[in-house]
Amino acid sequence: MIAGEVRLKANPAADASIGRSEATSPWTLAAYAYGLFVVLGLAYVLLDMPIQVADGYTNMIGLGQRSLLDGVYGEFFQRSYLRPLLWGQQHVVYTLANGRYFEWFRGWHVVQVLLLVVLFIRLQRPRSIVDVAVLPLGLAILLGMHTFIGTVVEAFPINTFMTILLCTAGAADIALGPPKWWRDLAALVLFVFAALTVESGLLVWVVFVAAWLTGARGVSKGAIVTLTVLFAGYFVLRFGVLDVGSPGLIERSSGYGFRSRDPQELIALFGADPWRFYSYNVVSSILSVLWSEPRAGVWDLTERLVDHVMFSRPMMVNMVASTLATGVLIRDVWMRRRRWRVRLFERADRIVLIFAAVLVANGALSYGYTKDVMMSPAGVFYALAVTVATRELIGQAPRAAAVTIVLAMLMAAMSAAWAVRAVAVHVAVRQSGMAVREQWAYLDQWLETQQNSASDPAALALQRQLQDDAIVRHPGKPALTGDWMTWLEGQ
Amino acid sequence: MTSTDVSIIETPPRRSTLLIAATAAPAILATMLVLVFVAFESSGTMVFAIEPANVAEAAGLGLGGETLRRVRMGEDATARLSVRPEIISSSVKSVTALEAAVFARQVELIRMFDRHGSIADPTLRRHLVCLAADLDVRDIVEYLGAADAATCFPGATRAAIVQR
Repeated sequence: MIAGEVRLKANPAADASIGRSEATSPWTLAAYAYGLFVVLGLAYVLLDMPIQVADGYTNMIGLGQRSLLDGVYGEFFQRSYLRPLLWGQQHVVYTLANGRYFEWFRGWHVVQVLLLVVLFIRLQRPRSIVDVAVLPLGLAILLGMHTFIGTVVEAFPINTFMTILLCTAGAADIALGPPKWWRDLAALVLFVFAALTVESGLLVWVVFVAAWLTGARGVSKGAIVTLTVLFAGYFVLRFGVLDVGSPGLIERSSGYGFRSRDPQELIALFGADPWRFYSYNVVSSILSVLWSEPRAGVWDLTERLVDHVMFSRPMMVNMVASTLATGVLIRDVWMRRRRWRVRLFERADRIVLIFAAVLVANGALSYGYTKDVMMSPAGVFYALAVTVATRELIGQAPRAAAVTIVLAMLMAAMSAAWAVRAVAVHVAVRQSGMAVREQWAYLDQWLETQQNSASDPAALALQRQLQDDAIVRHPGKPALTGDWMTWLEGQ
Repeated sequence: MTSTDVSIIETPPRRSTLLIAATAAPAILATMLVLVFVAFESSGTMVFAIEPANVAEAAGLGLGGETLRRVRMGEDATARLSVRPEIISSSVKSVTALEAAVFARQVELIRMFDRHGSIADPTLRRHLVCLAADLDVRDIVEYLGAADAATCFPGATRAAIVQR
């Protein structure tokens, strides 16, 4: 519900039509036009970023050595990770690129961002001036979330996390639409694709089930049952048939308390009782989305509070932005609670509840170690839910002048704080591009430290081409300077 | 009662122009600022950025990628070039890219120049060692040859560069 009075009447056929008119309006076009502007700004910095050396060039070497089917098949038998279709996607783009790697891989990253913004706007269904007024805030939250930065500042050479953002947002779009046979098929294909791309792809199932439990019937009951069988089948395949296993404590560093711990420290702290560490990671990941603290399991802001150390400007911005946005969301949940008790859901309710489900499930999937970008699916649904909640707040605001003025000031502060965070993402991508160019400039030195000098002629040719792409054919933009950067660096 | 047996008839939301403007304006303004910035840069006008004018400035800013690009485009790393006061310091106005790399304390740049054969001349190498010793850039001194540094007259190389 957007605002105003709700009246109920019996209507058995109303299942999928609950919600607002499907008809587009000039406001809808305005929303997509604005989304395009947002994408243009981000595309500018994304196309300035070369293919990176580590996890970019190094992954691409393998792409040229195996056929698509051989590679995908081989990836089923890796240890700790089951991501065959990740390799498959990279191989498809690599093959289509036919030597024009920069254009295809960087172009694909831009297309992914465009698709995500389109899905975000579709899920919001902007039809009125209020809908369009909250959209800029929503897109600023989408881009400005600290969980989002990792989906744009690097690529491997395709950013896996961004792929999963598209899958989860796409799942919500399928589930929240009117019932159609093709939505069932799309749901099944999307789940298999996402689950075999990266582990967080399992969240697609969470989205479909959460949507169905809240009355969305875009996907049929039969499809939900099939999805659940496939979900269970994933675990049978992974742990029973292929014995892939999962990453252990010794795989990587992770934040705990006031700092990051290396694997040896983690084993010393939790070796006998890893569940305590896993619980910490789940709770930290969930809190991180809601309050931007802790970050990657580290309570940096809290430590500064305890030690009476000054916050950095980005920390202050993050704190203001997240506190206000989560405050609006909590108010919204409180206002909706009566309808939820009688299982009365419409589109906005579903979006908020899907966010809750994805947040918990995403946190649970992050049990092994915490990292901002791993919570990026929850970050996208957070942006959707806060946008819905803000729309509701504006629609329900009391008419008293004093209340309106106070609310307007809070809304302006929230919007400004998220706007700063969104601009900071552009700066982060630009700086990442510069850092990648430095890697290419000092490639020989990097390869020496990695003891990883390529000897295969094809790998050497690829290396030369990507270095030329990064240094000569697509030279970087100059570094940004000025005191204002202190508001944006380190978000 | 479940969602399958109800429908909702909504009344239009109330609109407060002030609230709508307060929510939308800051985020829209930020997007517009980004686009204006993009438009300026795309037209060749750099705002909030220092663009190196030559290979010495690129090295002085510690930009490995831009330095390598300019070397590949044929710029001479051993040629004395004018650098703006904000690149290294207001007292350093004319340097080679090699000297600028030492001023920028970038041993990676020195290694890169070395791989490209720009420091093959022993006299030039000693000159750079002495400059690195004057500036107390120990990793560059070590890389180029700590033995040579012992033969340098302290402060002389830096002073000579400043007096250009």
